[in-house]
Amino acid sequence: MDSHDIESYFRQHRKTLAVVFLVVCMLAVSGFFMGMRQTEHQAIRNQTPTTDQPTFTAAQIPTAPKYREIPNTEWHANRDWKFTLADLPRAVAPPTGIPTASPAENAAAIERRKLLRAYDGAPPVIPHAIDTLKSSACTSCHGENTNLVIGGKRPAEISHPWITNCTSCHVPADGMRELTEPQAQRLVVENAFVGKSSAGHGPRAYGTAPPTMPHAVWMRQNCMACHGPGREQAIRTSHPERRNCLQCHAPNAAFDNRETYLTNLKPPIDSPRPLQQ
Amino acid sequence: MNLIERRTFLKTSALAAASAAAAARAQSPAPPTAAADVLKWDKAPCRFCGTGCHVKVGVKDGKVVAIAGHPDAAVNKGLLCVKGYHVGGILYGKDRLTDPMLRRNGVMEKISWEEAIDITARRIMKNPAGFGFYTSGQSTIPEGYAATKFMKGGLSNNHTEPNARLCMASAVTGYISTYGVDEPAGCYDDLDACNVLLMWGNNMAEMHPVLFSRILDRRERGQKVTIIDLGTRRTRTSEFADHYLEFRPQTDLAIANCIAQQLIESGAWNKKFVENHCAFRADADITKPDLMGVAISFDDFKNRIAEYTPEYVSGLSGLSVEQLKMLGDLFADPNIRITSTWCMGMNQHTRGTAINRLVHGIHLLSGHFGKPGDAPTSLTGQPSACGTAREVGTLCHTLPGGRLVAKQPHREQCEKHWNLPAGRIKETPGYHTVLLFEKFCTPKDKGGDIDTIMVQVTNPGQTLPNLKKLYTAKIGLEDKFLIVSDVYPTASTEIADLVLPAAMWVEKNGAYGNSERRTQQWFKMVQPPGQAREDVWMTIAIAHRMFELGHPGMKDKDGKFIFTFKDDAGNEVPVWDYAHFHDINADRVLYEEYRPLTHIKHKHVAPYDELVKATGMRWPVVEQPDGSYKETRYRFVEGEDPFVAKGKGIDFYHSTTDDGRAQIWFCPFERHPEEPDTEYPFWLCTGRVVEHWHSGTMTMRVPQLRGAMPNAYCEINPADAAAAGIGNGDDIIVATRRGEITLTAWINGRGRPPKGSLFVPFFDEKRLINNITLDAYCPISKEPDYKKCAARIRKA
Repeated sequence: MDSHDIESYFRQHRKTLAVVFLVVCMLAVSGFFMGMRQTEHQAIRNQTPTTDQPTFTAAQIPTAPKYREIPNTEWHANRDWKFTLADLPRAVAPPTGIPTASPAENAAAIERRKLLRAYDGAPPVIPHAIDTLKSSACTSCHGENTNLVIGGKRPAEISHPWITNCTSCHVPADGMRELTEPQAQRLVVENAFVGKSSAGHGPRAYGTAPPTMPHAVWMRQNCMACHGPGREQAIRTSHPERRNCLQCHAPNAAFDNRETYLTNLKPPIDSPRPLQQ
Repeated sequence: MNLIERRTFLKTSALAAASAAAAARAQSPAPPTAAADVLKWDKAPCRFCGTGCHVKVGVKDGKVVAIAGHPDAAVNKGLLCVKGYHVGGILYGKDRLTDPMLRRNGVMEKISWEEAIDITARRIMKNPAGFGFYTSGQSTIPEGYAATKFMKGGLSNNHTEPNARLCMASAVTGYISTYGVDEPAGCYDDLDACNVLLMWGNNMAEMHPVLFSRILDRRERGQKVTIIDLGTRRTRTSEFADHYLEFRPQTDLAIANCIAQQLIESGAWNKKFVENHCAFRADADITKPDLMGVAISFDDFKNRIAEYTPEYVSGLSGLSVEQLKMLGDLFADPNIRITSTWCMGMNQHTRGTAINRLVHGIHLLSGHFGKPGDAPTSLTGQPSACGTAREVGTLCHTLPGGRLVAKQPHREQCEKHWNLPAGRIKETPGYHTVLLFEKFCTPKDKGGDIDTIMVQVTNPGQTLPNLKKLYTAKIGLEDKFLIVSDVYPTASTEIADLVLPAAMWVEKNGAYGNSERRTQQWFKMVQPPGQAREDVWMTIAIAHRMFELGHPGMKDKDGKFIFTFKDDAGNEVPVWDYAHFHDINADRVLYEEYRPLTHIKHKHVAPYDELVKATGMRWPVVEQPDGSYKETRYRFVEGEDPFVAKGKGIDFYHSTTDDGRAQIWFCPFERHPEEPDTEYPFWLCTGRVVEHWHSGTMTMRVPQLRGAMPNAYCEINPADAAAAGIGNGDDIIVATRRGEITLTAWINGRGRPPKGSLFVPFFDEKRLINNITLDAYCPISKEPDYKKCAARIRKA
């Protein structure tokens, strides 16, 4: 068969070949789009619990399915579940303006804060279970500018980022440690320590003067960690754009915790020493 | 305007401002205002570990209500750990002991202090030689001084021991046999200057977290510090470390020798430093090791160390040859600064003295010594293990200021200082801790010649090793009498015959000495509860009762009572009568009486009145021509240490060989006496956690600390757990040759032991791990090994 024969063969069967070609093309195109479709299995894997199961409350922790049940199991997640930290919502356009909390709401906020602290100024205990080994687990949510929203709340931001051994000062709150023995099998003794409570509002020199700071500043140098946008309304600043806080809000003499011994005097040798009032 | 007026003025103006603000807000229910909460603040060292952080204590209405890290304190620079922040809570546990209690027919009954003191005094009088006084590395300096003077100078009885025997005796023997004098040459400033921090079995992130933060903070400031964790289990410290080198327990001896071998082999040892300042030494007979050993030549040292090649030691230790070479190369590099730290990992060791010597040895051999950042420094676990147990000398073989009871001139000096007749102090050392309790727990007819023990400021019922043999064996021995002074009911008070309620921390005056030779002082700030009284008062009151009853030892050469307290006008104050105890500062009197005794070994502690003004001062503290006092950062170093003559460079002026040289020891690797075998295949290690301090007597009563770490557990490797069918949180039985206890298994928890090893913390009095620990000890330091014994596990 020479080349002339081949050409003539194609000429003779032109129509048939065109039909075959068209059918192949259609199959390829439809097959391509069919392949693009999700299988049932893939559809389950890609399901996003947040959108599919919006009804669960933050407190509910669903039971994990068995491995063999995974293909046929509906995924349950709590309301705020996200696969990665990066997907968690960021606080956007946080509320500003003059905080409008009532005195009762303010008092409640102070009370909530007190629950996690032995006294005003103590490192707060952690209201959740923790990774007991690594501090990097802490900073992924509590680090500087993480700006996450989890369960409608913003995790507390570290106010002293230069200190990195988190668990040397912050420990889980009572009941948050896994593997705790029943109380009857432990030493549990009541304690009558009553810590200094939060001072509430800082006093003002006159009606509209900027309030003085109602706490010591040490370890709380990052004011915005607590007073910044999106924080507890009772202590939120109304003017986050002004970042030089100490320019107007002065330290308060009531929180001067310098010792009362006098270096220029011979130390008294009686004990306890008389008060200096 | 003087200071007091200015302060009052400030406070008044603050109050005025507050009242104005309150008035302005009077229409609406206002929250409390700031100035209503004015506290009285004072300084004190933290009550817990040997780091010696300074805290500020806020007091209101006679109660401690707040704590703050002291920003001016050089040790902690304003930072504390979780225990320090909650130290105020330790005073207020609901079950504080408030009355002296005597066991009558098996029942504890309240008695008066007069009766308690009288009973104790008469009991000691009955058999003064059979009395043992067990004190503490938490005793204040005046408490330790009064105890040692009462016992050694008054009773002619050397059976006085501090619990510090259980925690740093090996560090002491290491320092003495290397430098001829106890305590570190370096200080915490090394942590700010070193390029490499090498931690020998030292979980600093949990046990000395504030010091560890000093290193981590440097990283945050962009400085490069190489952190090496040489450990037997993965911990929080390992997580921060650049290198985690996991070795088999006991092979630290071989690793240190391997570093020395590499230095010699490569010729990288510092020849100039060694030729000028060092000599070589080894035990004459390794089966009978002693403190001083014999001199050996460099060639002898070289021959003995030669076998510790990286290849050989790799096989022993489990470290790779590369890891061992990395350590060797670090020490071979003269341009970096290396700080070694260690705590119980090296001290609680059946060859504790040896490993301490070896670590000093590699620093000396390589010349990594005497420059800021170049130092071998032991850390202490108790707030005054250094200040009281070591410096005052409450050990059974020591006298104040680094003196020894065995040395005639030392005894004479103390007798002279105390105005006692010659020969009053006995020359034979008393029983060391393990022996003291063994003799107490043995019936008299079987050689148990200690029949009364008084315990102060410590909890041997939980912290002695092998408790069934050394503590609870006392139960049922009718002729034994146990007196325990404590602040809460403990495992120790449980079997005591007489319990004395003690004042603690800022309920009394005190002075402590931390790991870096820093002496710290504080004043009483609040009243102790009920009838609780100061331990130092108890000692003096007992001594005085014995004086009244006619004990000859309680009289000095002139027939007067051995303790004298005078006020500024020179009038005697009868401080043994508690009504007069606070008429003067008894602490200051005792401290100032003790202070001149520190000079013989050049441990000049600072005058009391200087300490009042400072957040601690590091001895030697020497008076300057202008009348001020200067502390010392680096001992034996010209320009830093006032006792090193100009031109000397470095001078080990207390050298054991009297030639200004430190000793580089050779000590061989030796196996542990109870290595795991087929019957007991696991290593069992015990220790602490960050939330609790030692036996938990104080920290278990602070809700925040107890809540975070409510009970003891057993850390176990996942592979071992799987093999034994154990799941996370399962009850397991940990057994050794001495007994067994039940604990929850914690897999992949806070610490991660390698396959074949377990870890159990000892803070939990409901789960006494020391019921099953080993009581074998270092033959030189007599310090037991709580870190290693053989164990087995099974599911409960």
